[in-house]
Amino acid sequence: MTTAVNGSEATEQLARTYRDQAAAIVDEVGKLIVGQREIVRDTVVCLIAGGNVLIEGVPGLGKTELVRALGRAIDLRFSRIQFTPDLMPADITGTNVVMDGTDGQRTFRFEPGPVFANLVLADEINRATPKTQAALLEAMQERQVSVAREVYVLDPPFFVMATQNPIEMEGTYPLPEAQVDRFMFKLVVDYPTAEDLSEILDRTTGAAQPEVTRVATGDDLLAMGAFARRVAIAPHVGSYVVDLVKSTHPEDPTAHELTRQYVRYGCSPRAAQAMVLAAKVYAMLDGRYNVGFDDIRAAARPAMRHRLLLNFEAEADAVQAEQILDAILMSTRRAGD
Amino acid sequence: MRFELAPLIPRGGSWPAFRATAYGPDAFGQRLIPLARRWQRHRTLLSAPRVLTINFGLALLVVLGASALGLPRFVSVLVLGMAVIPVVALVGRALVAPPPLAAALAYDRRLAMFERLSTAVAGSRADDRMRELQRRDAFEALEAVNPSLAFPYRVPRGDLGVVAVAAAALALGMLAATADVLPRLGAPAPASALAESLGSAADGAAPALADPAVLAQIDQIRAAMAELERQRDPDAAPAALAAEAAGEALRRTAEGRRLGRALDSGDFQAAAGEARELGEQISGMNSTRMDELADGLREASERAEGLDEGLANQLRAAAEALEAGRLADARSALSQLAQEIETAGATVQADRGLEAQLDQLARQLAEAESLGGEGLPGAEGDSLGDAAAAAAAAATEGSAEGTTGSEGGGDSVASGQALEGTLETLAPEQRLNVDGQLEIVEIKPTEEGAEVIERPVLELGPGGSSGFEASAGDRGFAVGRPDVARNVPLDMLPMLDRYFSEP
Repeated sequence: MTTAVNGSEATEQLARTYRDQAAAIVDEVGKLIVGQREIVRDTVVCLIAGGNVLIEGVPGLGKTELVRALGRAIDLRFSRIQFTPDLMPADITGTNVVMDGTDGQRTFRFEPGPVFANLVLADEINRATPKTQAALLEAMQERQVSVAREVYVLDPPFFVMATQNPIEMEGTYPLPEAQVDRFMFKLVVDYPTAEDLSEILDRTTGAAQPEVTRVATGDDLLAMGAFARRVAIAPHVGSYVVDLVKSTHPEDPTAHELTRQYVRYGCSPRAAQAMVLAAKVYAMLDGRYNVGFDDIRAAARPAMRHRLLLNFEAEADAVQAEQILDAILMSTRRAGD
Repeated sequence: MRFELAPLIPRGGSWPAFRATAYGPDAFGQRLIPLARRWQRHRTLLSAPRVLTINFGLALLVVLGASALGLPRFVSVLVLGMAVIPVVALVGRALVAPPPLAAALAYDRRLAMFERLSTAVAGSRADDRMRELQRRDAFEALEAVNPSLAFPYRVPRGDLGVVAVAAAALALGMLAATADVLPRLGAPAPASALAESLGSAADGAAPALADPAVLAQIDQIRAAMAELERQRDPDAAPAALAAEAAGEALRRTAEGRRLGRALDSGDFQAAAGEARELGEQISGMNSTRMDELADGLREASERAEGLDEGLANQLRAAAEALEAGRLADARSALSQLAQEIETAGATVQADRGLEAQLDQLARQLAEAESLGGEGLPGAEGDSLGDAAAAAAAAATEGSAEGTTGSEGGGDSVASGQALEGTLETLAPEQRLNVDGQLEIVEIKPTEEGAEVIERPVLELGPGGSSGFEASAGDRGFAVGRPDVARNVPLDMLPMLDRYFSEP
């Protein structure tokens, strides 16, 4: 009994530590990124949950800066790939190069690409060709890279944070559905408020530049992720996740009316996994040991908005995925309703 | 899940309301019990107003329906008794333990506890250590809960109106079921009962103009009057007239005087007795008296002809037998005449009963229409006195019809049966005739129009009469009118003033 109590206390202490570390990461990033607390928090949540993040927003909103700040706040190997139309897959994964040996023989040696890092920033990912974009698929999902019949395992933790610009669509290549589905969250960065904008000016145009301190390591992130997976989720809360995902399937009897009208393909099981994992992290950061409905609802939009494939009618009626998700969240009943 | 009733009597001084079967014996489960009980009572209280309103409202409708259909009162009482069942069910629901998960979810939702309690109740697939932590966290949250603040025993202000409606429905239902004061709507009520109910209604406060209740009463009266009119025997009035006419002829004969008076006064029972007695006296009559009686019977027969053929035939048969000197036939004919008179008497008597009811309804109709005021649907052209006069006229078939007021510039037709009344209660269309009886007057100008003679107010009356006739205050009433005595009682002045003070 004493052991159990001690074990529980140790677990409780761990939970407190992880909560404090996550809060510290958010605070450190917040030194560079003014406002956008929700975006920062969701990005950290994805890091803890081990998911990839797609960040969308117009230029100049600090998307890239956010990822760079994360790289500095956490002791991780950080690499940045600027996606351009002429970028080749090998520029990402790396390639075999011929090396002259000391004995005069020439051998092939694998030269790792920028994907071999813990935190990869894929900037403006939709400007590269699909072939190059696909080079990231295996790394994002399998955490490995295959080059010339050789498989290279990526060191954990491994995160891909991609940004894309919703405007200037000329010469871009929208991400294929299979690749979009591999992003745990899609976060939409909006313009800062007037107060935030003033704060940005104060911080970035003065002589003193804010310094970001490392407050966590990659191992910490992995431990936090492992702990978050232990957070309890009750059956009725799990059923709510299932109901939400089923509501996005147009052929399902429980589908929402807007889903039937505007959705071509609904969310995959990855959406449900993303919601539950993110909800567990939310609960952990909130000092709880169980997932609540509100955690699920907080994770629902970023986890599902990029997984809804709308039909032509939705495009004609200018219906956005957010509107459909709002309707689904409003109408899906929770246990006890 | 097993539900158990809370014990009504505390055991051991505490209220272990629910056993630990569903809630678990640990501290968390036991702590949840009073909270669950509180929530159960709270939600029962919230749902009670609407449930009771629907319940009592339906019961009231059923009770009213039963009353309208004339079902026995015990049916209404039974329905009202059945309406208590949902109340008992509500009380029972408040005592029954809710499912622990439902109670936990309710508190989670109410206090924004992020499903701490419901997760602890429902369990999860987390490892033991995490589950223990979660349950401890939930228990700490549970201990901080103040159930009286979370779920107070208070009916929302918006539901107070619903509570009032439920109470009103219950009160009305009980009143309708026990006192039976509500009218039996739609039922073919007897005229007497209808008159009583309407009378009691008329005694109360006057309803508003075009009150639906008054309109309904008027419709009921009219329906009852039509029904009574339908039940009347069309031969009754001619039979009465025939008897009257025959009696008038027989009164002139020495032997038939008593029979004639009885017939003339409408006492058919006495007339039948007189006819039988006359038959027994025939053998003692001399020829002169016999001839006189035969003449009287024949004249009576002729007068009754066309009105009551049966009576006329028997009178004729008796007259012929007497003229022929066939005493046995004459005795037999007078005996049959007696039977015929009894038959006619029964018919006339039944008709008079219906007529009396019609008169009563006509008065009720006049009262109801005066309460309802003008503008009542269907009242135009058939208002107040007209309806009563029509009913009375239908009852008497012009038994007192004649022209009056010939000097008033138009013909007035007074018709109807003499009614009991006083001057204070007279309606504008009513007056007392010279016999002190009530008449209902219909003003019916002649088609060709009457000659209009301009006269000063004080010179009314036959030509040459003085404008300074001694009268009650020189009011210029119809001095010298044949139907008005010179010495008019003072209590008739209002009526005279009403009808005859204008040229």
